[in-house]
Amino acid sequence: MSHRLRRHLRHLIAYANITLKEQTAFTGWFWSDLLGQVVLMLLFSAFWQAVYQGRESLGGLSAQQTLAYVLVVNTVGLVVRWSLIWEFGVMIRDGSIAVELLRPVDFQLRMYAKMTTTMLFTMGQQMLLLGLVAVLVLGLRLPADPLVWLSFLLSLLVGNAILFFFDWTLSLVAFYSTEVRGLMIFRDGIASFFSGFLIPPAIMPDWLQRVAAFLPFGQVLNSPAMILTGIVPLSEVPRILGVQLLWLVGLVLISRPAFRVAIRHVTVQGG
Amino acid sequence: MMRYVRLYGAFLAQHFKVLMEHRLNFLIATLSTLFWQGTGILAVWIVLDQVPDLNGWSKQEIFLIYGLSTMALGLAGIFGVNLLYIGQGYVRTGRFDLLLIRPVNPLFHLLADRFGQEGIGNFLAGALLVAYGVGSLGLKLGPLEWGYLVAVALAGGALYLALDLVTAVAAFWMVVATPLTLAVNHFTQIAAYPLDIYKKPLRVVMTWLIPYSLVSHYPAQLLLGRPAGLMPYALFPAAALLCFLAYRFWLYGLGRYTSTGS
Repeated sequence: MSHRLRRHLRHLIAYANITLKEQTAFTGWFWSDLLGQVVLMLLFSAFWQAVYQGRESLGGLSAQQTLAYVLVVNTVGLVVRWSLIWEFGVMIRDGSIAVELLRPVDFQLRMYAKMTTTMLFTMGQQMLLLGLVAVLVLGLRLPADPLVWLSFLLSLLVGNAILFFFDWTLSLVAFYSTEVRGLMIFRDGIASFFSGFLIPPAIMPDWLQRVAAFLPFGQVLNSPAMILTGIVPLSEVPRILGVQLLWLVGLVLISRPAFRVAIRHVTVQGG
Repeated sequence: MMRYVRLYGAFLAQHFKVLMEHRLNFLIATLSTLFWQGTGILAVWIVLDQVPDLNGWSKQEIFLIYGLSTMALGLAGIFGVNLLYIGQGYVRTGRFDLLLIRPVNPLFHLLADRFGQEGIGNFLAGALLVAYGVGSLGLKLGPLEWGYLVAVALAGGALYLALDLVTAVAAFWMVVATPLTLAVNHFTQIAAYPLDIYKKPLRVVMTWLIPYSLVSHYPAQLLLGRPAGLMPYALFPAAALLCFLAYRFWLYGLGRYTSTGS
């Protein structure tokens, strides 16, 4: 292993460690988030049960499939709700971006370590608890095939990375506008919609499905959820992962040069 | 009372001066919440377009309920957004002491200290949905019904605000209580749909414990001419009682407040 790679790896682990410590400090947020997710789950499951009353299928999905999809998407849905954009806004406002850029660590790598560890940590806890509620209270049935689980986790991880690099590129707007709250709400709305968090894309009208195909959000939640719920068979997994990887590579290639251009415009507001 | 109305006007004037300095940001904040609500509404719309009804509620009727709840949420957001920041923004930093030494009611000062511009988007989305519901259902509303609708929006906003206050007061003990406020706030989403699509325990909670549905489901029943007994009017005493209790609780919390200031 080259010296450079080893150094990168060491930084990655160190930042993952710091994030873990930060996360455990905020247990209040954790439980509130969890309750919020449970409430949403109750709402969605009641809503879909009412929708399917006296109906066999909707958009080609059975009641069982849609319900499983909705529960899975809700359990892992935190992935789309987090946003790097806020972090960028804070760093620009309080001036810490200047310090970040001076560090002898790749800034993007550091942020990726931070965001992904946060996701894995919170989801590790939250997903387990939410999954438990979904299985015990709401009757979610999960697959037993370890291969399905492996594909799901892989797809989820790649999906998270896709969103990270998308957010990274979008966050660069903050270097020009300094306003991030509105941008974040826009991004949350559009991502919730097209990722499948609100409704399965299969139920959307054709034209919206076509729009969804041009956006990365479906790769983040819809793809892993389709795998875990068995709506798509295992034989489809290589194709799904392939598409995800294409998205990932494309967004990585865009995000880095875009950052180099945008960073010249940063105006730190205070600190 | 008049003094506080005038004072709020003065605070508001200051906020608007700031907002007008950043006009584009103000526009973005309003439009973004409107857009955010829009995506949620579009999702529901797409589903309801494909099914004739939801437990006997048509799309238009559901949007009336959705709108009533969203309007109240918007109002509470416009006037009460600072309740979310009491812990981080005031107690932890010691700025809360400042509110205590000024010659105005500290709760009033806290509320007036921040104007929830994002609430405007929610309020507008809610009002549009109510208008859509009333219009598309061809409801003939007389002056009495319109008056009732306005009263529901205002009392609904007050009820939402009172519940936010109850949870925000916990900041006097926990320092940061925002998660608690948000946690209870999550239930507003349940109130956006007809109560009878839920199982009984949730219906009881939403009517008696965290009574957000008094703002949406029951008033909609009255407007739609569905039998509901006196429940469509329960919102008013409930809002008054909750405001009273929340304020007492606030005073109790205030008595326990110890400055962290530095």
